[in-house]
Formats: sequence, structure tokens, C-alpha cells
Amino acid sequence: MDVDGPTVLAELSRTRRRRRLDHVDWFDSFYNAYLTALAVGVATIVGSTFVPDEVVSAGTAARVAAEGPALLGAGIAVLVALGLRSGGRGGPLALEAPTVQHVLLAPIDRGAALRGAAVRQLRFGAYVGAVTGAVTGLLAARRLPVEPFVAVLYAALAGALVAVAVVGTALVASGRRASSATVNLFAVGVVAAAGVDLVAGTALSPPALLGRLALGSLGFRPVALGGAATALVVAGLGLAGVGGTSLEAARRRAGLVSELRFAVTLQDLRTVVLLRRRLAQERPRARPWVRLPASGRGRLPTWRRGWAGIARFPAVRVMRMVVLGALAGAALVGAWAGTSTLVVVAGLALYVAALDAVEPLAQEIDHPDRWAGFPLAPGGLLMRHLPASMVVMVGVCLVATATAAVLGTAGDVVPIATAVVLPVAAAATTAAAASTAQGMAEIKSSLSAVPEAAGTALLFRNGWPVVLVVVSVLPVLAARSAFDHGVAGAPVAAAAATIPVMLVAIALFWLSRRAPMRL
Amino acid sequence: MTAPAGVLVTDGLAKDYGDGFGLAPVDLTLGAGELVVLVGPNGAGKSTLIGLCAGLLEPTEGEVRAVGEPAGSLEARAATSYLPDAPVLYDDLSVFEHLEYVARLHGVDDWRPRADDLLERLDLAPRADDLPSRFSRGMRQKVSLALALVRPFDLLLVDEPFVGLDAPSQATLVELLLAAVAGGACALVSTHQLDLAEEASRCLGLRDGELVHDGPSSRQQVLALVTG
Repeated sequence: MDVDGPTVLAELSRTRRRRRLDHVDWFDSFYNAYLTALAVGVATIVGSTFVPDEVVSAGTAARVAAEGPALLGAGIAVLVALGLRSGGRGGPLALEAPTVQHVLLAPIDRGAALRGAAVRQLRFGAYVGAVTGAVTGLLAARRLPVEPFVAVLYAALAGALVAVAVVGTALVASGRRASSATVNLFAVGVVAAAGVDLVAGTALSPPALLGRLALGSLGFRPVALGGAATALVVAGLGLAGVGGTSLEAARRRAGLVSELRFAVTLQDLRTVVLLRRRLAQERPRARPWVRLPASGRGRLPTWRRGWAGIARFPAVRVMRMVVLGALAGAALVGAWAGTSTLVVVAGLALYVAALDAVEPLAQEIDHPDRWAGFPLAPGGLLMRHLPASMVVMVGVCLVATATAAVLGTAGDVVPIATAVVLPVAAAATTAAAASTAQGMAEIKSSLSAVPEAAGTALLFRNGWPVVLVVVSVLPVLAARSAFDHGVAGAPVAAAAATIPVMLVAIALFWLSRRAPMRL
Repeated sequence: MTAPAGVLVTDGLAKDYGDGFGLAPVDLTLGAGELVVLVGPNGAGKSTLIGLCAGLLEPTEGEVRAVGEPAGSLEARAATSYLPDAPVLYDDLSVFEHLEYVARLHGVDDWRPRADDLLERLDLAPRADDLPSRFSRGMRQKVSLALALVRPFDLLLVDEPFVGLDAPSQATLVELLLAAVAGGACALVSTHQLDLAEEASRCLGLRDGELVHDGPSSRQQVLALVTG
């Protein structure tokens, strides 16, 4: 059979593009692009104002140049490892179900059919990586003795190449249908190589070389191009082998990704979390880590039910929460050292970890009929679920504390952590519970307000829980300020923590008024 | 019951989803011109067997060949038409554009007469320029059926095709299946439809992932297999 697959696919693509363009509201599209550009611009400018203007000393800059590549390399290695795991599950391509059914089952070269989608994925990844790199470079240039333009250029280039490496490794893994054991082995290898650089103070692994490229503004060394070449070769290998992608995985992902997009459209965070877990094939353990002792008296059933669910957290979820805790601790060390913006990173990391921690409460929200059937005030039931989740978040905060103690000065960290751990854990738990309990956005109520205010209302709806967590870590900055003035930080942090505690109380009151939502 | 020429051959074909066998090892040979009904209660493994034969699922053990080639290979894809249980259609293509696209992907240049005939027989002609995304479940099922039949095939794999179809459309579907078989194709149809059981030359029964029957097809046989 002689089928000119590329021609037929190109014609389909043209037909579909034409039909899409027919339905595009150009004014609306330009307005959205304008708003997005404005938001990114404002966020960058506001973010940059949080970064102190004072340039670090020559010694510190030399230390960044020497140790930065390995540190960045470790972060890049983790991203590559995540890419490998995604590839092991059939990622990163998210095809439409009809494409799997009609195109991939047709007698045409699957490589030719999938290469376009893979190139688009690489291109989009490179774009996002470049923008992220550029913004990071701009912020770094305020503190490092470098030309801003040069810093932005190197960071953008490195960001794009990191994204290409991550998507490329995922493509290689999925195209070769690598088993879970194989991708885990390679992921551990990549992270271990970057770890060796970190410990030995070298920058020889490909991720560390990309880190070196990102810091090229502090002194470019041609060896950094080795990281760029590796990223491009991996992407080339991924494109060459994309035809080997498993149809079974592609079909599973096709259904889940379309549901995921719909959930994102509805701003339904809980559904997004659930679908992402299904994409990652993250299921509760059949056998709990610890079996709870039998309880005959039935006291504290919600507390007990919470621990029963937490005891079945899969290893990957536990690992993710530990990594997020460590990330929060590292970010707070950076904030303590002068880059105040990093409190946002710490807050976001704790918020995401808390979305996992509130799983027992989320299960209640997932089953509104059961929830409504309990002889309790609906919001009261949610409140009873919080303590177990908060204990988990205290554990995450202790991981952050341990990380900060290792990276910073343990003598300074421990007293301040003692003052802020409980308020932060409470804020993260409450914020995640609130986001989960909100359900999908009520379009009607958003539109019934002044139309121009609908966007702001939606932004507030999704943003306030994250802001609550960020505010809860601000006492660390208050402690730093006190420390700079020769005053003990811990009492100041404890006093400053009263503000987030009051905000948590308000949020808890709101949560206690929630009721089951049915479609 | 072995057919002379193996259009579809499975050898120890099995699928394990990780929580037990979705399909225990199965050995089958289906020949040209055979209409085979695949029956069994829900969760018996019917869709798994069809998905494996279509090359959509990867076997845990064994192998499956269509027209002598491994399922999923270029040659097997050219020879195998798969009609899924739920219609899988693009949101932004009309019925007619779907037909053209699928036919051309299978190398059919003179697809128009066949497409017109199918649209006419399935009562879709008046809606040929409409988007199927706006159709009812039954109408979408008819579009899906047309897509499965507009291209050439030696092996037709059909999963629960009668769901959502009204009585006249069900009759048309039976006619189209019989015509395909009369034309020399082998059809494996997962169904609970008793009328089709009367027409079929062979019946395969699955239960709990195991092949429990491979023999003549009749209403009584199908009823017994479905109800257990």
C-alpha cells in the first residue's frame, strides 16, 4: 500500500487550522495576549523590587561562579530525572484520542506522524525555559556584578536548553518504551552524577555544564558548551525515536490530558491533582506503611480515618513531599541571605506539599453524597480532618528546617524554626484545604459581578490560599531584619507570626462554612 | 474450528494489568470470511482481547498476528480496521472530512463512492457537512462505523457496536458486517446482540479473562455465556 502519510497529515493540519481560525475572535485573542504580557511584565518588575539592589562582594560572586554550576546542575538533574519518569509513562506527548485511533492505527510511518507534535513540544518547552531563564537572569543581575543583558542572554539560553534536555530525555524514554526500572536507574544515575559534582566541587556532569552556561555572565568557559551539545543530542535522539511511542500509553494519556485541560479551564484544582496522579499512575499503596492498631471504641474516627489514608501514601508522594520540604528550606536560606523573593518559592513549595497532605479531607470532598450523609455539620467534618494533615505538614516543615540547618547556620535556624513551624504548617494545611474545598469556579457568580472585575475575582479566588502560605513564612524575613540589627530573631519571628495565625483563623472560619457541592 | 487461513492468529496471548490477568493466555486462529462473536459478562476481557488484536494494547505474554504480521506493524495496521466501543472523533472535522481523512490515510484515492454509499445507508448523508461533536451518541456511533468501513481491511475488530443505535441502524450494521464478511474479511465482534449471534459462524466466550468457549454460535449459547 502506497500512502503519502506526510501529505495527508499536512492537509488535515491545514483543514483543522482553517476551521480553528474561522472561530477565533481576534479582538479577544489580542486582548488576552495583551493582558498576559502586562501580567508577566508587572510580575517581573514587582518581583525584581524584592531583590535588594546591593551587589554582592567580589568574594561572594567568585563563590557563586565556583559553586553555582554544581548547585544549579543538581536542580537541572532533578528536572531531567522527572522528564525520564514522564517518558517511562508514555510522556511527554499528549495526543488527541482521535489521533491515536485514526492516525497511529493507519499504515503510515508513526515517526513522521508524531515528529511534528514532538517538535512543537520541544519548541514550547524551549520558549518557557527561555522566558523563565531570562526572568531569573534579570533578577540575578541585580545582585551579581554582571551586565544585565549578558546575564539575561546566558540564563535564557541555558533555560531553553534545560527544557530541551528534559523534554528530549522524556522523548527518548517513551520512544524506546523504557521500563520503569530502566528509567529509574537512569534517573538515579543523572542525579548521582550531579550529586558527585556538588560534593566534589566540580562541574563535569552535563547538568552541571548547563549550570555553568547559565552563569556564563560571571565568566564563560567553552566547556559549558558540552552541556548544550548533550541537550541537543538527546533531543535529536528523542525526535528520531518518537515513532516507537507506546499506543497503550498514548491512548491512556489522551483521555486523561483532555480531562485535565477541561479541569484547568474550570479552575478545579482538586480534579487537576487527581488527574495528574492518574497520569503519573500514582496509586495508594495496597498495603499501608504502618497498619493502625484495631480500635474498638470508635473514638476520634476522623483522626483515625485520616491516618489510615496517610499510611497508604505511595512512596513517590512521600518522596515528593520531602523534596518540596527541602526546597522550601533551601529557598528560605536564600531569602535569609538577601534574596527576599525566595520566600515565594518557599511558600509555593509548602502549598504544593500541603495539597498532598490534605488527601483525607479531599477524599471527603470527592464524595459529596457520603460527606452529606454523616450526622455532622459538613464544615465541622472538614475541620476534624485537618489535625492529621497538619501533623504531616509539621513533618514537611521539619524537613525544611533540617535542610536550612545544613545549608545555613544551625544555631540561627533552630530557634527561628521553633517559632514559625507550627504557624507555617497550619497555614499550609488550611490553604490547601481551602483550595481543595473550593471546587470548580462558579462562572455564573464570576460573571454576575462587573465583567471587568471577573478576572480579578477569579485571580483572588485561586490566589489567596497561596498568599496565605507565603505570608506565613514572612516572619523569617522579620527575624532576618532583627538579626541584621543585632536583635535576637526568634522572638521577633514569633511576634510576627501572630498575623498569619489570625489569617489562618479567618480561613478556618470560612472552611467551617463549606458544604457538599453537587453538580 | 480452525480456519484454513489465519487472518488473525494469537499464540499464548495474555495481558496482565498488574492486579491479575486481564486476559489469560489465549490461542486462536480466525480465518478469512469468518464472522466471530465475542461474548462474556462485563469485565470478562473482551475489550482487552480486541485491543490487543488491534495493536492498541501491549501483551504481557505471547503474540498476536494479523495477516501474518505482528499486530501494530505497518502491514497489520493496513489490514486491520478497529471500531472502538466509544466513538473517537475529532471535534473540528465534519463527517465528510473525517471520511476523506481516514480513507486517504489508508491509501484510498477513490474513496468518494464508498463514502457516499455508507453515508446513505447509515442515514448520515444530510449531516455530512456537520461536525459530529454536536451529534447524539447514536449518530456519533454511526459516524464511527462509517470510518471503520470506508477503508479496505482484511480484519474487522468491533467492540460493542450496537450501543446507542436505534433498531433500523442496528439492522443496517448487521447488513454491513455480513457484507464485509461476504467480501472475504474476517470480523471479530464483541457484543451481547442475540440477532448477530444467529448470523455468526463462530462464538468465543470469555469469563474472568479466560477463554471458556470456542464453538458454534447460537442465541442459547450466547445467552448462557453472558449470564454465566
